[in-house]
Amino acid sequence: MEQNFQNPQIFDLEIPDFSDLKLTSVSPKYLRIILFNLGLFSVFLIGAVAAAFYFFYFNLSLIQIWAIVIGIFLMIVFLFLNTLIGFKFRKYAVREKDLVYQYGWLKRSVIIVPFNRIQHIKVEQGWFSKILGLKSVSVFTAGVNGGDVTVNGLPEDIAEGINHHIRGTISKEKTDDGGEA
Amino acid sequence: MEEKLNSFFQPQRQSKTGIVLLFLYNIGMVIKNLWVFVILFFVRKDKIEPWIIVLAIIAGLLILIVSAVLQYYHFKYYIDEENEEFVIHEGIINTSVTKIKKENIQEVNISQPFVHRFFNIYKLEIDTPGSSEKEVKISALTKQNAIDLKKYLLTETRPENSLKEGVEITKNQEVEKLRSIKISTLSILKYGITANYIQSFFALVSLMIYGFSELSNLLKKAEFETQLDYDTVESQFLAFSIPVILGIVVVVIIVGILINTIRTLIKFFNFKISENNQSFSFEYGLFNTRNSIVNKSKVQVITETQNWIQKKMNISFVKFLQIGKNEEDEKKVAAVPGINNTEKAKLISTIWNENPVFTDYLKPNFRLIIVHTFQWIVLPLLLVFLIEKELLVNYWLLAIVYIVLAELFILISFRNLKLFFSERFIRLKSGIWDIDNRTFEVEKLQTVKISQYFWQRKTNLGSITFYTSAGRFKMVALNFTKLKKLLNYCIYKIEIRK
Repeated sequence: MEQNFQNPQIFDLEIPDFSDLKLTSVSPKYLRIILFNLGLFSVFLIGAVAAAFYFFYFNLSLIQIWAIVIGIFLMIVFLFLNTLIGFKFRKYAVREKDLVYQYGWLKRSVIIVPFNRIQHIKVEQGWFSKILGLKSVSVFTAGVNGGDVTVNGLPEDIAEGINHHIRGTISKEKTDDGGEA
Repeated sequence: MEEKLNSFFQPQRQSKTGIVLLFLYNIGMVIKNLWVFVILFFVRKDKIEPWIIVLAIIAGLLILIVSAVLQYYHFKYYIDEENEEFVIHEGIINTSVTKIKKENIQEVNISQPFVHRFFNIYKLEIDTPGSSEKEVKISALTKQNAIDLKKYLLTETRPENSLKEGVEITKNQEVEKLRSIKISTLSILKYGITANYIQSFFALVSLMIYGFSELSNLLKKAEFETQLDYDTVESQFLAFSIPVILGIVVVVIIVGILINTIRTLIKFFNFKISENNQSFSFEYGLFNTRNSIVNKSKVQVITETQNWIQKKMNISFVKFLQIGKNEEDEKKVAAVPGINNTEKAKLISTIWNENPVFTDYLKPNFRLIIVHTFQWIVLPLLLVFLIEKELLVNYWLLAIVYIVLAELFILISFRNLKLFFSERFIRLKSGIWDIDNRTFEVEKLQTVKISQYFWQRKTNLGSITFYTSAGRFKMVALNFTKLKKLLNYCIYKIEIRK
């Protein structure tokens, strides 16, 4: 059965291959935003645990307390490491007809959204992103459970450029074939 | 037909008998909401003057009648020709206007619930895709009106096609106007007997367990309590009853199948499929006649379900998932029970102009068995062991039975997991007893994602997720190089489609 796979009609076609692509990393400045959010989360977590200890006196032995403290510490360290390493894998590429997005460290995923499947696009900018001059682009498809992609941490001009490019392609298609969903 | 077609462009009211229906419906609502008071009234035997009660009832009925009439006169529907919208006005105090773009209407269901039968009127429900929670329905229409309205709402929903296909439609109209398939009562009976074993079995088992625990509680309280301690009762009960328990299990299974069969028969009785140019309509039901429409061009995924016995009997269950429908909302998915293979092939080929044939497939790697074994057997038993050692020691026989059964299920499900592909279609096969075949067109996919855990890099394995507009479908532990090619191919197919 393994050999059967090489169906020449499908797989030996000259199809553009996404692995030939040179993927672009998102702006390194975006790392600051993620780290900032993660820092906030860590502070909140530590605060919550401390508050819980303060208000409810648990009868815990010294070992148990240490276990909890070390557990939380390891979790935070893991989250930071995960972010730092995972950040290198956030890459995207815009082709003539689709958007390629790669993400994830432990689990690396590649998703490709063809422009003629995009229902609408959203460009967003938070307050921190505004300071750093970053924007995020989200594309939404008609997929029922997911199938939408958000690329965070794009430099403003590139985000607007992608937005413009996709909008242009979609509206061209709409006029071409009468607005097929 | 043309002169019979009502002018829906003028605001219309429902059928006059609708007043009666609204009235009955209101009474139903009142009783449903106030039954506590009714019971309260009967329970406490305080002296309330009978004339007060009669007066209250009469007043209540009067209010209900007036509100029914008002509701009737305030309910209007019409078609806004300019904007291509279907408009409904309703409400007495809180008025609301609902507008639906005609092109967004996906399905129009005509049904005749039990009460409607007495007045010979029909209910019409309009279904729009996506997240619109609001249900649009007109609850009292004459048959002619309902059919005309449905026809009007569903034609020309795709203006871009009407130009191209217009010529063809008029040409073919006489030739293949109505091809219809009828599912015989025997087929439905067969389907009822063979389907949903597991569901009905578990439902009954839980019922039995509940009954037993109640019974033993009762016995304990009644007499055994003082004379015997519970342990001896239990051991005696267990000792004498192994044949009894077996007998009970058999009875439970038979009763389960019986109930299920009857339920299926009532639900799907007299199942008729009629084919029009752009759609199918299904009509079925013994007490409540239901009628649903499947628009051929909007079918995204076709799910065929069949188990071993059904395969031998040559029947299967076919679901047609349309845009915006999830497989989970059982009620809204159009499905055909007990259809035989030739009819199924005919039905599918009218939607896709061909019957998908697959020669190539991908199978998950055997490592998936190990992962599943760990996930379903090692991990749970380990947890039980850590939490309560005694449990595992005392019931080791049960644990072994569990291990054997679970491993068997894992192996069977692994054997059934397959990803078929051809130039135009992809099919995912999965299941243990009921085997599902989900088929969809490559060019109708929305997006495709492939993923790989870093430890899978050495073994070159990964997973693929297909996002359709009727749900997403995932397959894991497949050859990653081939998945990449498949991803390229799917995207290519979507993009060259015009």
